[in-house]
Amino acid sequence: MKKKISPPSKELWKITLAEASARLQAASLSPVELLEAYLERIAEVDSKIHSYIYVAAEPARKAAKRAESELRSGIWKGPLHGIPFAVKDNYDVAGMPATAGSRLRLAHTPEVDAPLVADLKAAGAVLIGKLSTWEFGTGNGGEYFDLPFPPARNPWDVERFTGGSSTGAGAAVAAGTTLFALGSDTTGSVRLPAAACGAVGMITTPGRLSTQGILPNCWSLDTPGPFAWTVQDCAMILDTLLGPPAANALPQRSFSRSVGLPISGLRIAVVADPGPGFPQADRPLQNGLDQALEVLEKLGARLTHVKLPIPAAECFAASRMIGPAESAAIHEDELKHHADQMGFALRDKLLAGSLVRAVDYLAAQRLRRAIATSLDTLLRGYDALVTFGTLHLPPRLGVEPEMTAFTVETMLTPFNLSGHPALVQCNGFAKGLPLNWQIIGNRGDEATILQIAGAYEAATPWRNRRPTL
Amino acid sequence: MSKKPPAKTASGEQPNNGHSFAALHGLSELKPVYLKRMEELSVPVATFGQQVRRLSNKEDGPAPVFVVMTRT
Repeated sequence: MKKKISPPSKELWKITLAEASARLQAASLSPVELLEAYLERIAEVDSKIHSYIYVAAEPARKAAKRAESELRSGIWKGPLHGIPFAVKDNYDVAGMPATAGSRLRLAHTPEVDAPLVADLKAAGAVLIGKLSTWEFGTGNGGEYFDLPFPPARNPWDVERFTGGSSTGAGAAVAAGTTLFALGSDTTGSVRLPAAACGAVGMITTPGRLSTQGILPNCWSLDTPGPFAWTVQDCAMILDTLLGPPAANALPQRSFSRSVGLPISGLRIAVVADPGPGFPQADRPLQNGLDQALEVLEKLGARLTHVKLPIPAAECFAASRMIGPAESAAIHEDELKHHADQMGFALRDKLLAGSLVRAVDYLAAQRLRRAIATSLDTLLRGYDALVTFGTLHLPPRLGVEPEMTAFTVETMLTPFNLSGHPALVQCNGFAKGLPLNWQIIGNRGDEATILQIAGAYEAATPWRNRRPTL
Repeated sequence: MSKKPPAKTASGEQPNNGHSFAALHGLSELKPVYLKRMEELSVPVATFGQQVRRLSNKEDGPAPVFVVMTRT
């Protein structure tokens, strides 16, 4: 077991959520001191990475002082009490702008918190502000530098893309401008930025986390998800958001307690080939997967190589109909009347979505049912499945065809279509950039994903490395 | 004064034009520049639509992704 050393106070931004929570409870750290460290970090580095659209320093200071007063009085609301966080700017927060990265919503200020935000505030977490996003939480894979806010930049190399559409969330967690974040994922928008920035990003079984108060992008695929630096931190966020096991309709173990359990004997399916119609993973990512599998074997997991029942390329073909068509339906009025104010990526996606034939949309939803059924059948024979997250390293920002290839050629979309929980985590580095892989669980079994990811993380050194800005 | 019907192509279909194209897709309000872009996009979108694999069994319906619920 590695000994954890707390960072010195001037490097508090490197602290994990679990360490911060323990220190807040032990009163060796105050919520105000912790928040100020993050505000200082934002002032120091955010002009280089643009992870934030809006920093609510004063409301955050008030919340931190309240948390400090409560903790001093012996009121402990749970492990997130006094912990700073931020949300993608497509989440509603009462009294804060919710621009969704768009000129069309610069004046939009919701009056009510999205339920997930309300739950975190009720748990005593301290909201720092709103994070960068592709316009309306969507896009076409490219970056056109035409939105009202500068694009977020990858803290490992600011000339590179952060992954989208939750562009600020992965960057913020990796750079330490927040301790954790919430984003949203339609066909990879949590896991892609987590992959590009070396963070942990997770989607849960659809329906577990409320999508209310989050600007819709695709009704049938949207899923919120947390970003954190470690697996344990991610588990603590989910424990708070999902409440005690008895309160949930789906079977649930304590996520935090799952992290640290041995994985010896677990049956894990491995997909190391994206299948026909997609490129093979770049060599560094292939090596990362191979080496990670060796770690799992050493930890006693039983690996079996399998193929996706429906190849990733076919899944992508289905999502390419469903996503744009639903986005065009959601934002039809904006397209009709305000197309001029949109960035190119959103407008082009909505124009394309308006052209999708109902016949093709339904063909995609029929295929989706087959994808869900066949993946469910495959997964039920195993405790989890592991595969690539992305097939490429993070591309140079705005450079084509790198950008589109990175966004489109992934192994993320099949599990949005199938409705399975999935987590992306860092599994090494190449050329100074984070590598990644993905762990997928049976429906309702996020705990086993966290168990495997936690065991892998504990056995590898990747969490000790942070970007230099 | 009677209106002259639009010319027809050899196949008997009316030729495409910006307005009818926009009306077909419910987007008559769009500026010509965006209608032109839509026309450009119509080719790849149609191609992508045909790339979605069709299931042979007609009883394989679409995924039940929308649930009819009343707001509470």
